[in-house]
Amino acid sequence: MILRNFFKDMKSLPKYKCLIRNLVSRDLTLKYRASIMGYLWSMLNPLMLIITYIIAFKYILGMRSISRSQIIVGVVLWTFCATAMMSSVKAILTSAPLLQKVTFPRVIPVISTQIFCLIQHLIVYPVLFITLLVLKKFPNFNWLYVFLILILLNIMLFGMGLFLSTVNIFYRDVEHFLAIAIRILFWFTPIVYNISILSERRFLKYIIAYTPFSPFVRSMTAVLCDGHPIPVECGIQMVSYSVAALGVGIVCFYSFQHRFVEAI
Amino acid sequence: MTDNGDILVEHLCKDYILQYNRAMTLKSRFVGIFNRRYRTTKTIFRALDDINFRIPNGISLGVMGHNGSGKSTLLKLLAGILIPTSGKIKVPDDAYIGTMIQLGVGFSPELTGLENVYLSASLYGYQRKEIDKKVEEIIEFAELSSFIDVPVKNYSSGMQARLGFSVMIIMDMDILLIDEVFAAGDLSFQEKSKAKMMEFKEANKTIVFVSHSAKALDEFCDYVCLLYKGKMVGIGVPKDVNEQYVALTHKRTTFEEAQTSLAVPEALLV
Repeated sequence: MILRNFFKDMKSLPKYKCLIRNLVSRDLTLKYRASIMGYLWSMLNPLMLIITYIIAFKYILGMRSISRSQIIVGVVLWTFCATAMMSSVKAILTSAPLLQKVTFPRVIPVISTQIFCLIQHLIVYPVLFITLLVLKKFPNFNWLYVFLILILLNIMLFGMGLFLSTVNIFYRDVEHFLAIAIRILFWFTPIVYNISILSERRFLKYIIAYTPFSPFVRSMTAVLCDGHPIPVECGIQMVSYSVAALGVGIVCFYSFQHRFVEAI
Repeated sequence: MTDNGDILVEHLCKDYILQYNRAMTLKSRFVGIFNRRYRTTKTIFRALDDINFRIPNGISLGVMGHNGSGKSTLLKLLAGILIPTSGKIKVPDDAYIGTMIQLGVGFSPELTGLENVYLSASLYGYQRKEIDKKVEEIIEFAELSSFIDVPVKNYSSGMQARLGFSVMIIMDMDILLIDEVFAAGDLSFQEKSKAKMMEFKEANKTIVFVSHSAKALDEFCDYVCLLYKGKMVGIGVPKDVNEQYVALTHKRTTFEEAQTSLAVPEALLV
């Protein structure tokens, strides 16, 4: 039943592709209309974080294990994950006025939010690549793995978005819990430090290696900063995490979607 | 899915769960374990009870009844916005269904009128090219050509209503589900939209039309369905139904008497 509804929605997506495009472009226009800096805002936030972290960790704490390029790549990817989660948790609630008046697949607001966040992430890439060139990280064929990482990451974020937006309808404070969880998760993901410095603390290293976003950040830094392919254990983790998140998300979303309109 | 474009409603029931003191947050759910005052109590309210009818393709059916008799609920169920508690609704599969539950469907106040036309037409499932073809006509019908690039938040409520109605009527849907539309717009716009609705009706398309106005129902509807406290009294021609509606209002007749005097026409039986 759940799967049948899911596939029915997926089949009707071509019919609603114009709606998805309009919703995404609405979000983009609303974000950038009447702002002088326009899309530079998308870069300002990660940029400020990067500068702060580089000063704090490289220069004040003098950490050797992490390079500037690793912090940059990590923070850019993390910003995407955090904004995607924070926006998709509200996706269904904010489109309540539409859902209460017209029938269209309930999953569409979640999809359009995800695409909106992805676009904002992708427009940072040109600047990211130029920065990496300045830091003498030159592209090689392994950089193509970026596509694979992004595809898997988006599958996982989409699954999480389905789950979070569903739960948030019935318990509105999930949003606030999530904000705290994201803060904590940041430090439990190897972004501003390298996981190798934990070799003496086996238990902590174990936890950090298995938090949801660490395989993605680790693979991204391995590919972009070191020019290596994706580490095998990270690859396995990424695939299993994204499949699991998608599965949980679909089951959760489609078991409750018939109650959405009455609950919002 | 019906093969001939009919809408079928069989043993349709809809319960609303009224939750007093609903736990909206995890915190209040948690507090509720210890403190009785914060616990949710539920009562079930049956908004629609065992509704049966068929709307043959091309028929316009009016829905009439007192406040709270379940008219809007029925419309939302037909539109697929709400899901029935039990029973079945069958609506033709690929039909474009225009719903007008409230005026100004899904308008984003910050976007311009034109952007909103595209957004709300795509909500019904139309593609960009199809909207491109009609957009001129929509703007012209809404009489908003000089305001179309202004954000909708600066529109008056009448302007918003006109735009919303125009999108729905010009996009040429297969089925229209309408809740009290003629309340908005000035006299000339009302007359224009009535004429458009008549055209729509003559094109043999299905309309379900909720209204309190006996005059409007008489003008547009082939048959009218009368609801009373969630139950269906019957279906008949507008004049007969209005008689029963007035009689029920003044308590000159009981539900059972009204039910026997309003037999459902054969074409509309399931």
